[in-house]
Amino acid sequence: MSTPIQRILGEMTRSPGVVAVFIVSKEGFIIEKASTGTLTIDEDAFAAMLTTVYGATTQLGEELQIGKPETTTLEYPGHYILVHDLGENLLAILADKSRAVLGRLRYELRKQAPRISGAL
Amino acid sequence: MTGGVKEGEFSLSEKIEVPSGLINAIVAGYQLALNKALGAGAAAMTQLLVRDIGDFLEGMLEEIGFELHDIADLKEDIPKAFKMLGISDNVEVEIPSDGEASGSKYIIKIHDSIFKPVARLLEKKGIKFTLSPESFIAAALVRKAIRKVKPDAQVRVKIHPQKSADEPLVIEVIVR
Repeated sequence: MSTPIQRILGEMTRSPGVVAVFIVSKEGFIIEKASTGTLTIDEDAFAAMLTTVYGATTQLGEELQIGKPETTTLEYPGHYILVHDLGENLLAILADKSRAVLGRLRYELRKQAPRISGAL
Repeated sequence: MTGGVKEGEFSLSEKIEVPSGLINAIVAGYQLALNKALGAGAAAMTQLLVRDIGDFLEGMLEEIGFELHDIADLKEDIPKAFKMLGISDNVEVEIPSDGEASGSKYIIKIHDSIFKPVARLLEKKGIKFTLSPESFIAAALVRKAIRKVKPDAQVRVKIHPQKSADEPLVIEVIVR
């Protein structure tokens, strides 16, 4: 039986191009995830890296006195990674660039973030 | 200066006196720089360091004659390792009843540590000591003991926030 969090993440994976969705603790480990296929990643390393990247973007904003990042977008040749702050945790989407629409992904993150925070 | 130690290897058997103040300054420097660059993200580095340093530490402790017994013996073995390393003479360990089960938590309390000056400095600056060397050592020992019965076991480390550097450092090692 799936939990409310698993259901929300499952819904998110149905958006075009989404490969995987993660909830990552700011301590650096994965709390929950959903993917459209089998993911062969080192989850602990991924979670720690994601948290440190997000930490760096936050510090950059503080240094420049431009506030906290709303959504961090990382763009690679074939993929996007989007990261959204949930307070104690982060919500991240890994998406296939050829099928995903960036605006839709951002909308999805902002729409689902409060639901996820409420369900955690 | 490093005598018989091979390039790219670390050793505890050859002792070279280094002032603890220098070591503390280096540890504090890394923590301050990481905190500046990564903010709260610096905490995630702890998980990576446990993995990367764990294997080195295991070998180094064996080299100086430290013998790790079973999970139930961690209560004595962890304090012994801290004493042999000259880090602390006063360490308490709480072992969960089902030691190797996923989610089990080991609590390690370190009362006096040679790294206390770092904790004091960071406390003054309001920075969490996420790179505590004590946490890597404790996690490496727990991981090694658990892997004797569960070879693919992973551990996570959580360092409890200290209200004051004079309180014991409380490290939680969680089995995955």
